[in-house]
Amino acid sequence: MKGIKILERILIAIPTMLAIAMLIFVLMRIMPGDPVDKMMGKSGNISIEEVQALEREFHLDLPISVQLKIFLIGIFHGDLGTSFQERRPVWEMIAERIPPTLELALSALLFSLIVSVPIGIISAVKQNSLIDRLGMGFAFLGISAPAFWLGIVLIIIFAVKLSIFPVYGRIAFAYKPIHITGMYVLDSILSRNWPALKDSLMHLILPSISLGAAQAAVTTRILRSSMLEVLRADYVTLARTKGLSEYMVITKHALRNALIPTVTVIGLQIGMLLGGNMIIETIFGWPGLGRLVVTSIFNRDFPVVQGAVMFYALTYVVANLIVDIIYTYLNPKISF
Amino acid sequence: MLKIHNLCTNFFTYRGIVKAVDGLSLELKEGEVLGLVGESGCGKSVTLLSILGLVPYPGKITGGEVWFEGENLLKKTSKEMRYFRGNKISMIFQDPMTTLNPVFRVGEQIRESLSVHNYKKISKKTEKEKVLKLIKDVGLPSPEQIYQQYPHQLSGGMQQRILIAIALSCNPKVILADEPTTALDVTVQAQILDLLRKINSDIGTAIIMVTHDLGVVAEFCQKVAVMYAGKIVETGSVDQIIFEPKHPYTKGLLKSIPKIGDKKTKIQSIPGDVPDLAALPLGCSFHSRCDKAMSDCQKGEIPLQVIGEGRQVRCLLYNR
Amino acid sequence: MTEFYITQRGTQKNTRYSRSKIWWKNFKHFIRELIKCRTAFMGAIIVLSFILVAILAPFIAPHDPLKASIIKRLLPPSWVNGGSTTYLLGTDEIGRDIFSRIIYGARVSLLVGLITVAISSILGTLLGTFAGYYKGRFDAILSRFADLLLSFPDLIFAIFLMAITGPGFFNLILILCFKSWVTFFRLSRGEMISEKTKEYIEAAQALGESDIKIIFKEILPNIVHSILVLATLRVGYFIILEASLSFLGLGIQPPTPAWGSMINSGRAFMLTSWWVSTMPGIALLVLVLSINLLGEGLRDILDPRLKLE
Repeated sequence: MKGIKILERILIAIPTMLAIAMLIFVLMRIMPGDPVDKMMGKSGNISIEEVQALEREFHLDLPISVQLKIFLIGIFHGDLGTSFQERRPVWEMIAERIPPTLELALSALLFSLIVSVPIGIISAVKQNSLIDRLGMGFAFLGISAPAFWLGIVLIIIFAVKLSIFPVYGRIAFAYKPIHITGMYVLDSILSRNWPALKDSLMHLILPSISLGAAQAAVTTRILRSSMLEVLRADYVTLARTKGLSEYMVITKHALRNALIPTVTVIGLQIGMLLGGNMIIETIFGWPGLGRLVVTSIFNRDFPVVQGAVMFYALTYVVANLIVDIIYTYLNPKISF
Repeated sequence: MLKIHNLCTNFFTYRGIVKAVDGLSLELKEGEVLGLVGESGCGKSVTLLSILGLVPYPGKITGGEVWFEGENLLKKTSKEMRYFRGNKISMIFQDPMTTLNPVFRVGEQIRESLSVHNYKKISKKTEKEKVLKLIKDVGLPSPEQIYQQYPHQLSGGMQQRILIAIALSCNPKVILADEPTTALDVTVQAQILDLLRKINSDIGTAIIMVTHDLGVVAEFCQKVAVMYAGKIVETGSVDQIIFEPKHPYTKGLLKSIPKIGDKKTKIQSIPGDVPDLAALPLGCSFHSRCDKAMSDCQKGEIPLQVIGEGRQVRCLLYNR
Repeated sequence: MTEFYITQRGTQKNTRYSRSKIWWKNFKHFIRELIKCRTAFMGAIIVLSFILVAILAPFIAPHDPLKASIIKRLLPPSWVNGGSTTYLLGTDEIGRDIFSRIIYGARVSLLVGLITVAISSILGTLLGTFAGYYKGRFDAILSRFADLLLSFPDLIFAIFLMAITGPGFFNLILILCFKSWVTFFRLSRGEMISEKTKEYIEAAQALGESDIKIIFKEILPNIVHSILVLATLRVGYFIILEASLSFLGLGIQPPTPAWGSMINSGRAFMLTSWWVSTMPGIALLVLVLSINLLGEGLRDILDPRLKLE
């Protein structure tokens, strides 16, 4: 029965993704500003032939409906167009940069969970204690500080002044491990390349903290408030009357219930992760998808921008789908 | 078997100290069914929680002793108390929908009780068999099916039976029942009471039944203790309390029950309100609502007088 | 808990209180509660100071924010060696006074935040209340569209659109509003749907009150507090969003002082002149922090039922 619900959700996601693709298509065309103009930039003398050639290349001379058809069919075949700047398939460019972005996003997520879950639980259990006040104070700062500024400040303090962490990039070139997954930390572990592991981790820490801090803040707060509510519930008292240890009461009975609304919020936060990703990659010189988008915008490489944005949006849909599925597992009231 | 002596539980709130339980003493013999009666907020539930040492913040047990099988439970650490909770003394609550954990299957919730107190190290399979038997014992059909259900899939009566199964799982000596029938329909109420009665007669488990419903008391209990504003005001057998109430409060409670067939008499309620437990009046807590109040009622502590075998009243009317 | 706020449904024609008197009473009570809650009060004071500073910028700023001076570039803040009190927080890479630029930058941030929230809250609330009240096809279409928009992360959506339209103040506001009305839409729609089931609506309908009247006189006053809380919190959110866009060069363009672009231009000098990026960021942090304090405080004050003990 749970399987059916999951299948349902997957099926609903497909028209959503289609709608997203169409929305992107429409937006690109209705927004003021001629794309070819933008692509040409302000480079001055361009012959009419060149403009026309460009128009033909990007199908802009065809009627809108045909353009839409080409666009959608292209997506189904995994063809997102060709980069104007590099003359390569957009998809290839995106695929290259998925591992670093994925590595960064996952470690930011991991960081935020490692920080938020214990603090959220302890703050709720020991309400109004020092840990609670400190935790909530930091959480408040976390939601008020912009991620990019945090990244810069962390660099200034830890990388420049204290020289603990490196400033840019993913790894020092000499240490680069064999390419298995493209994620340096994973590859280092898989190939038992300990120096590479150390170096890649050192490069990974500051960006992950910058990216994950805001998410950690939000998650801590929502987990704390759900826990507070749950701890007041009758079934928690019942668990105690059964003779369970306080630890079991909190982790088995209370937490399971408190996670339900928390997971939903985490899903929404992933959007911020994806967005902030672009900025953090720019600051830390991380060669990922986000940086590609930013540079492509300035290079006026529209096919890449379009393709990458679509990829981000689809990832968000998939991520929320996963969160939805997890939610279905956590909350038995939903499956039936 | 269970003897509460001079129990005091206070709640330290920002508005002042609330004396939820003020010098309460009770005795429960093996296999007895004791009813603890009183209005909402008079401290009945807190009494039960105090026995198990589970008084929630900002409450604290500030005095007295709870003797169970020769040991003072109030002197035990939380870890030591875990041996008793659910094992020797278990508790059932008022609203089964909120008392059962919504994310776990009911069978698992019963089995948890067994595995926490699995001192004989029986296997998981044996535990499950025991659970199935328990589900059958509390009168539910198709135990295998019920085991897999989630609480929200069961009706109120079925949920309450599951709670009773949890309470019974380790063969406790005492079951503390905190208004187990209040949230249920009248017909289901009768079924649950029947079940509890069966448990009491077949297995010999003693029960303390907390309720505000005198009808339940009349049908089910053997002994009764009436509580008001944190103190016991009258005790006796169920017949004595129902037919020969002594304390004005008890009398008032009985009078306020409408009788079938009595068309002409207005429903008599006890005038006034329950006192604010943070600011109790001097002397008898009931005097402002009592039609037999005397000037002496406002002065000093009114002690609990013994006026017969198992018969006590806290009222100056019966002072010698 | 007794209702402190006298809402319109308690008004009768022949009572002593006229409508304006009710508003004044509610307002006075609100101010009293605000002062009692220290964090919210602090937040409110700081936000008001920022607004004041932004309005009075030409009179307060010690220097012209656009005046560059190659000699005076990258001077450190006054308390560091080499700094002077003329340039309180130091100068940036082309010699402009950072303090003055921060003051003028407040204008941009506050304008963007407040205007965006004003437009999207009114638009979103109107759409939401009508959609929630009448339901039907109007509601279905709008809700579907809202869900679709929500499947984009905010920043990515904004970056994408700004990339197409090009940077600029009006483009920015337009694009931010494009997606932001959705949160208000969902909130007001949800509240409308739950309020509509309550009995006082049935009573009003039975009395023959027109729909429009019911929506504006009966329901909206009861929904307003949660919308207000959301609006306040959103201001901070959009200020950060604007700063992020400016940081990437897609928002307000230099030389107009905007905190985001100031932080960005300081990046190149992170290793030597940390203050260029850090100072605007601190201003941003303090402003958003106070807005959040105010918003959270409002949440506690306006709906005591939500307050945790």
